Amino acid sequence: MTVADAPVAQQAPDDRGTDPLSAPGFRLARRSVVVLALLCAVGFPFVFTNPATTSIAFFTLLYAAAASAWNLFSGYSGYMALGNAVFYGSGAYFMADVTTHLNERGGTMIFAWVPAAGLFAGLVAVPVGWLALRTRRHTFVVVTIAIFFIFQLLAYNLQSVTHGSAGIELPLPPWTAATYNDPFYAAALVVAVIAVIASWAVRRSHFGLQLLAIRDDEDRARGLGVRTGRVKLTAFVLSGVITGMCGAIYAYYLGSVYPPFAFEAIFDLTVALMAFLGGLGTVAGPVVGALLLEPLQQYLTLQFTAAGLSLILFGALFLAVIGFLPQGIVPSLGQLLRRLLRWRRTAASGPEATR
Amino acid sequence: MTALLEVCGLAKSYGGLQALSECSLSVEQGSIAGLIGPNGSGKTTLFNVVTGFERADAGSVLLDGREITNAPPGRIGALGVGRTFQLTRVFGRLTLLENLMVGRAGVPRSRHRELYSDARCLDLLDFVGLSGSARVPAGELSYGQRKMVELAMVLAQEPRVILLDEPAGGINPLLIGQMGERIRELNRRGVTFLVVEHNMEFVMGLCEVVWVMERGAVIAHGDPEQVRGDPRVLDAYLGGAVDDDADDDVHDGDATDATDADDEAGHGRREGAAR
Repeated sequence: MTVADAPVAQQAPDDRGTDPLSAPGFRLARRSVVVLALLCAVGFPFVFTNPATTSIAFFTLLYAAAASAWNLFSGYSGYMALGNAVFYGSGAYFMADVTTHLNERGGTMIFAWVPAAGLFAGLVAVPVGWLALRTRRHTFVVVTIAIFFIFQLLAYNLQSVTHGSAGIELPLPPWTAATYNDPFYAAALVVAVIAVIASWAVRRSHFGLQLLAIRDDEDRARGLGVRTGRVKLTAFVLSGVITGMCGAIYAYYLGSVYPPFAFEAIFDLTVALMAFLGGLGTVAGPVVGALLLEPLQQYLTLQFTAAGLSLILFGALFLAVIGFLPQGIVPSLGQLLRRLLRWRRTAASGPEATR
Repeated sequence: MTALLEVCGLAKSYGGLQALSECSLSVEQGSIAGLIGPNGSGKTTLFNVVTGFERADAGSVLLDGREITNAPPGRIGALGVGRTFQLTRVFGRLTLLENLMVGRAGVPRSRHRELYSDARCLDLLDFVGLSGSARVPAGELSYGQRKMVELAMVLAQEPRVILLDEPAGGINPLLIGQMGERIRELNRRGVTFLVVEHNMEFVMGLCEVVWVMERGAVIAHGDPEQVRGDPRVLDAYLGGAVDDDADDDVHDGDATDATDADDEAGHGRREGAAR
């Protein structure tokens, strides 16, 4: 604030007018990275066939999708939702209920219900968002947590729909143990790609700009004509749809749904943590966060199952991220790269240019 | 000349505090009107009510003869009333260009291309002397530069009348001069202004008509010379030192857009610049 006001007319020509990272070379590099990542993701199950490995890969993609979905609303709008498990669980129960009621036979055709489960979760998100979005900041966080617990309680008690703690068994997949994970992996990959494309499209759109404006100053945005209520709810529902699709795949993978697995508090925290680690409000951030955290979480759970040691390590990691990388990995790397480029440019153009 | 913006008998109270009472004024089409008054006299509250950020208890606001009282802020903006804030409000993590683009949400779809082309936004940034920083986050700018960005954000929507809340507050003299020039140039192009400002030199030099508020009501108006010599105005500014403090409390109570600490900081800066 106390920076001296530079007289505008005499301002030196500003090399910050253009972003060095938007140069054509970097755009090409970024595109190559995306294509490469996609190729790796597609090729992964052909190279690594061990079910233990593909299972971790499946969860990583599922969480990359869920974290992207969380970021699509919370990362862009600044409203920290800690209740996305509501949509995860709704999608899971929708999947279980529909497939058992229709006596579906296990197989790849069941995945056709995944989009419907997403839409159902989106439908759930409308009243939830309408209610929760009447509040802001900390109150919003608390309200989303409260709604999450209400849904978990409902799952225990709405016997006719959820069968309570007895749970629901989904149709048995016909695949052998050796290739069991592969169809799930493919489904998770499709949803992850949808989630990333959706966040990318939103980020580039004017709709996304309005979300970011809400994050920075909601009332100012409203004064400029942004229909804040509508914009927030749309993003919230979109996030719910994608999260619901993840939940549906998860339910089929597990083969059964129970209240504590469908409506899981850890899920709420994990998706947020992934987005934080990778970079809040960036497209790549949640994916990077999931790529790092999910395998780690799975590994920790396998190695230190006793006494929830994995959770303690996970918590410590969270603190480390907040402490050392408050912006997350992707923005920090971007900044580093920018500084490096600027430094190189000034070094190359000599002292005269910089004055 | 006809009144573009007309405020009739506006009243607003917060609990027992009467922030506005029977407040009436009018701003003529194509003019630059000033609005002055001691701290806590209700100027910012008036802006908030006129632009729909606060609801009026009584009275009406007319834009070009059309009632806009208590319409939502976005609607009032779309009808052609733009405003800036006393404590500048820009989107800190968005670039300047993006800051301008946000306002596209407030104009009809048919005008998107005309008003929000990249070229026009860059022109506007050029107009306020900041096109070189078009892709810099607004949070990296100085306070005065942010005020310029805010002006550009409002201009982008091509409002008919712009309410400026302390455009010269807390910024250096050079930038104050530029701000005045810009306002005058826009006025020549047909934009009407209502300016709240504590910097008397700035107001008196810029405005054709000056309205004076005290305790939520207009107590005098006229051209700068008349107002300067008006005993009621002198009394409002110099006579009531004790009351001034009480009024300050009223003002702090109604500060809607900032924490009190920020507000105080703003006052300090402004006073530093005014003297």
